[in-house]
Amino acid sequence: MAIHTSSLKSNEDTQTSDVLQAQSRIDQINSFQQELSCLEANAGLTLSNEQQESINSYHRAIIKKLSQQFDLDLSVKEKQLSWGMKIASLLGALAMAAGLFFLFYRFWGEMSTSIQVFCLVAASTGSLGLTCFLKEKGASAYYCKISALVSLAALVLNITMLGDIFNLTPSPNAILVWSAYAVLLAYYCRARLLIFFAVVGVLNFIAMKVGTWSGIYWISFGERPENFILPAIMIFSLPKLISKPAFRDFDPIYRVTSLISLFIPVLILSNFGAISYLPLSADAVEIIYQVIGFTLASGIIWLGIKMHWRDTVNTGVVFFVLFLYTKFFDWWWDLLPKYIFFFVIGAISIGLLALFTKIRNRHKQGMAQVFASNKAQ
Amino acid sequence: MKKFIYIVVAILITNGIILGKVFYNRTTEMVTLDLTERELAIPYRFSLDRESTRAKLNLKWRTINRTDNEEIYRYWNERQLDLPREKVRKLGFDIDEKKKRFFDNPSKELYWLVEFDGEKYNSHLRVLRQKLEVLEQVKPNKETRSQQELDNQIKRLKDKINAEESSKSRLIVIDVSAQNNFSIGKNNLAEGSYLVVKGLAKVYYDYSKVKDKEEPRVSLYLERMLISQIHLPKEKATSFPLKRDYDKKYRYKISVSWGRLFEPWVNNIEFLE
Repeated sequence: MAIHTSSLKSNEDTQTSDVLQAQSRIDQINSFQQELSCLEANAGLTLSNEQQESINSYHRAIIKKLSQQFDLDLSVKEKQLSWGMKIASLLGALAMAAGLFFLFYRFWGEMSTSIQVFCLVAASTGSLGLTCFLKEKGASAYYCKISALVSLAALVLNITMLGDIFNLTPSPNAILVWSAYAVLLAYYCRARLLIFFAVVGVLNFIAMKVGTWSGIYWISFGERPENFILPAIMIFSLPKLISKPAFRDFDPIYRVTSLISLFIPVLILSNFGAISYLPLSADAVEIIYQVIGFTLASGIIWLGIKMHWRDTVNTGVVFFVLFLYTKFFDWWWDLLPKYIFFFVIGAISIGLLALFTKIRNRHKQGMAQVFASNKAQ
Repeated sequence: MKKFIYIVVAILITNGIILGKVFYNRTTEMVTLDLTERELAIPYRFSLDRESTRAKLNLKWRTINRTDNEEIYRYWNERQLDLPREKVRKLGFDIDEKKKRFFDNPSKELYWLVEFDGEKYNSHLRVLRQKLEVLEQVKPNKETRSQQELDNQIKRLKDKINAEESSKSRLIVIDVSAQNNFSIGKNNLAEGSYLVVKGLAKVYYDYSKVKDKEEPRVSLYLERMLISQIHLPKEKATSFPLKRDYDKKYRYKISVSWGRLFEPWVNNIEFLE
């Protein structure tokens, strides 16, 4: 089989601000190279030297341009190493942040009040300076992210310790300050962990405010799980409103964190209705939230499939299963002998597996028919 | 570089706001009290807190409400404030049939009126001493009270009086309000001092001693003061022990002031022999 190519002209616009798209392009090129080798070995495909060189130089140009824009994994091995580096940098960042806390704890009592205040402010601003320095000097993104997390820890320490030194009344506004700082650092350093902390912080702050509007003390916001529902919906909608292509990899963090904050209160209230705001009996509240839980989980799965958000589908599935198994527990745990209970759960799971396999096979047959009709045309 | 400067300025402004609040609080001394180890206890340090070199003291307070109840309920009783149902409702609590379980009730931030070494404390002490006098006059009776029972009762009462005189806190919470509108008359200030702090409380429904179809007694359970620990600055606490040694008896007097925002600070520390 011969492929007729003269010279491949690179009309492709490699300028993209979307790191996911760029990585996807690299993966596509690698997949193409692997498939080409397979075809040459097994299907008798032969490319001339000129054609091979043309394709290779085309791909090299794309890889070079995209690598200059983003820190990308150019091969499977690099991808595996990247995972290791991510885990190491996460552990390193958390350990450094914890170390900073305990450093202050240990030497706190040796310092006068003015030195304590100076050290706290210096730690916040100094760690921020280090983060900016590492970013501007083009150091590895991992070092910059570690420094950013330490900087966030320094600000948390700054405000918390000032509260301790001067015996200040606790306030939820501190959480807003920390979250705002985490957002700034997250977008500056492209650190998804910081976005996670920021989203959790904002969710909790809004839930606290919702709680105070209903007359309870802000620290007790967790006593009324419904306080989390409104902020969770707001955060879930945020990526649709403000998402930038360069930060598309932040969107799953927003979605998953907000969905967890939405489902957990529903799950709690479906089992413990006494702590609801609703002026109904506990049993009625539990029934309402059970219905909401199943409907919501199904809706989220549908939305995830429609929008091609795998993270959303997975989260919906996890909570659908949790709701389902919680109901099974409610119905059968006391009624059945334990071994029958677990066998029934297992049988239902196998039944669901069979159902999903059937749906999947039907979908494959459909795709095969479409493919065959396209080929005939 | 610009972004760095903007964020540094934001951090400095945040710190400035916090320190400004501290300054504002300390511009007026609402009350200054000389508290002792009875009211400010050295805390026991758990787990990671053992590494901390920060000197702090726990503020001990109580109510004197249910003094006839058994000693095993003392911690619980010393946090109860019996108030009329209407007053509890006015504080913003919803006394609702459906949510009568303790842990379902939300906590509210309220202003607490706290008396230090005042009328409530001293009259309680007088009552205990009178009871002791009466008990010491009682003769044992085989049918009602044997000598041993009488001796035990007298010993318990003497221990209680001793504790009230030497170790129990003289900070007594006597009233709560949703607004800081306590009217402290001049004649009250003659005996003891009064302090207003912010604290958390929730409704407690007491079903004990309630007959069928009777409404439970409603009281407030005072959970905690919003500021329950006081930091000791290093300049004033150079030789202060960081953690409590149960074999030692610490005696000290600490001058503590409270400001406009109900936040305390330490003026002076004096060790007593």
